[in-house]
Amino acid sequence: MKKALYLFILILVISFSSCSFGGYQFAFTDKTVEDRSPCIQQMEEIKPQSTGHTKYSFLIVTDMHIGAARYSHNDDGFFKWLDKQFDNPDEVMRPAFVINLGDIADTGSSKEYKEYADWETKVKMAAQTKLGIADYKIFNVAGNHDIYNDGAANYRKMVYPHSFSYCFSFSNSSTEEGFDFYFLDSANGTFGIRQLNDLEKKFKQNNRPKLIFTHYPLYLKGINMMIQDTLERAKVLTFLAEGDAKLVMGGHAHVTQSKDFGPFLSQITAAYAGRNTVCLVTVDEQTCEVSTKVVSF
Amino acid sequence: MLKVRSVLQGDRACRHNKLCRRSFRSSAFASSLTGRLRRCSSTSRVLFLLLFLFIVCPLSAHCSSKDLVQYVRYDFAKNFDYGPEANLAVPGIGYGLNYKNQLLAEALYSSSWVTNDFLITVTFWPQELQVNRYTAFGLKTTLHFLDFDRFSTEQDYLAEPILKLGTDSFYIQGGMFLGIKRTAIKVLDESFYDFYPCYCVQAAGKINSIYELYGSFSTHDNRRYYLFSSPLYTLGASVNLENRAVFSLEAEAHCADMFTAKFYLNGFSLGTSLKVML
Repeated sequence: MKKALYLFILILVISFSSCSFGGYQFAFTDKTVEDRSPCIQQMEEIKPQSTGHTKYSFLIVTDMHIGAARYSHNDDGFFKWLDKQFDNPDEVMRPAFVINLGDIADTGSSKEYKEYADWETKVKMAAQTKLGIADYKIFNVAGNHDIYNDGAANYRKMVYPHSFSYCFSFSNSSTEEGFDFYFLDSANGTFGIRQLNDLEKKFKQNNRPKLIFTHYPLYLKGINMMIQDTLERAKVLTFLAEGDAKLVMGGHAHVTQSKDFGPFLSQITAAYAGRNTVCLVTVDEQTCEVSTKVVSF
Repeated sequence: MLKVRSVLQGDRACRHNKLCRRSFRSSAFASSLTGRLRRCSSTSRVLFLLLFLFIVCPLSAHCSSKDLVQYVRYDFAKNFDYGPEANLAVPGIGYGLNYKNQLLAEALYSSSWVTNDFLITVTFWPQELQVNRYTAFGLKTTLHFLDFDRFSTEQDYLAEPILKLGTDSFYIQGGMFLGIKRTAIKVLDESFYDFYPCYCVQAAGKINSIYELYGSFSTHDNRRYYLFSSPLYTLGASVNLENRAVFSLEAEAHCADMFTAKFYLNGFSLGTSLKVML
């Protein structure tokens, strides 16, 4: 009888634990997605610099896990590849900006975010040298690791654009309408009801093609490392289909996977840490077509 | 001669049944049944529940026996302001039977303004797998159907080998295996499958012959089947009213991804249930 009781307690304890997540965090957890992202902030002032072409590419990086000794970080390999990509004779394939899909820091400490700021500086310097872009943009969304140990406060203070959920409209050419870019907060493993309601509202407001960036994937075959509330997933997939979304990008699972839902493509990119993988997204504003290319460095 | 006639009559009846079934299947009514249920008014829903009850009661009268316990259950749950089902009130009705504590089956239907859930569970505790007074093995199978507003339909198929440790007054029961979920997103006109580990661990203790306390954590309850590992925590108490009815009150919390993400309460509900023995 006692054994059974101990077994029950052990299972309860295991069920309460997750990566870097202790009793204090359970009882006195700080702000959640509902507090961090009550709405999707419209941030038109942060748009990247346009190059005038109707076709352009940008780079997706995810799951860097800076500070995690369990992963290898091949920064040298990445910067060699990036330099080469900036020199690509096909201008379209030169990444015009970078989007990081979260899990930047492994434990959410300010030290890890400082290290990330150094990495960003190196990218920006390379872009300035090779492309001549003075204000090269690196957009970020938060992952589950980024908010561990009250890391959300560090993230807001140290990571551009200092917001967890935001969007802007961007047209690289002067002749085309361009795309709406949405960066969503899924760091708690859910979008939260307020952000979800705002997403529905914003999607109904215009019918421009949309690109969505979030840490948690909406659908993954074979692994449950995605939004686990299937009702929430159904809602978001419906909003995307009805809102003329073209692409939804996710990370978190450290694997590469893509699924064509018909109206839009779901692309999950493997991790920068350990897997040495990034993804190049090419957008055609004229045809509204989007394609992805997963690259190992 | 008599035998021949009865065979012929049986054949005709069988053919008639088949035709009826075929025409029912092909009818527009059958294909849009869930849609109709979803769109119907609150009065129609109450009438539907009453109809279900009136069908169940007379049926049960025919098959009463000493070893068979049958019941109808009336559920009501109210969700709080969390998650995609925030503030929903969910009434439900069900029918269950228990044969010698070896075969337990239950059918439940619950409905809210945006959801319709239908569930069938069968739990089998074979006598051969009863190791001793305190240990028993069994198998629980679940079939669940959900229609979620204009968004999706889901079907869950679960098979869980279960282990029960303890006595009648206090026991722990746990099951873990695999669930299969088929989701169809209505607007996409596409369906896909999720394979997920499902588990349910529950403990129950009788305070006396009337009152019982119970708690559980699992990936699913009667209506929601979350992907691994978004657990549901349940705490409840029940009152046995002279073996004629059981009234229970429970609180249930749902957390989003408890393995890799920080704690986030994605759902909270209070529910009551009344089981009336037939």
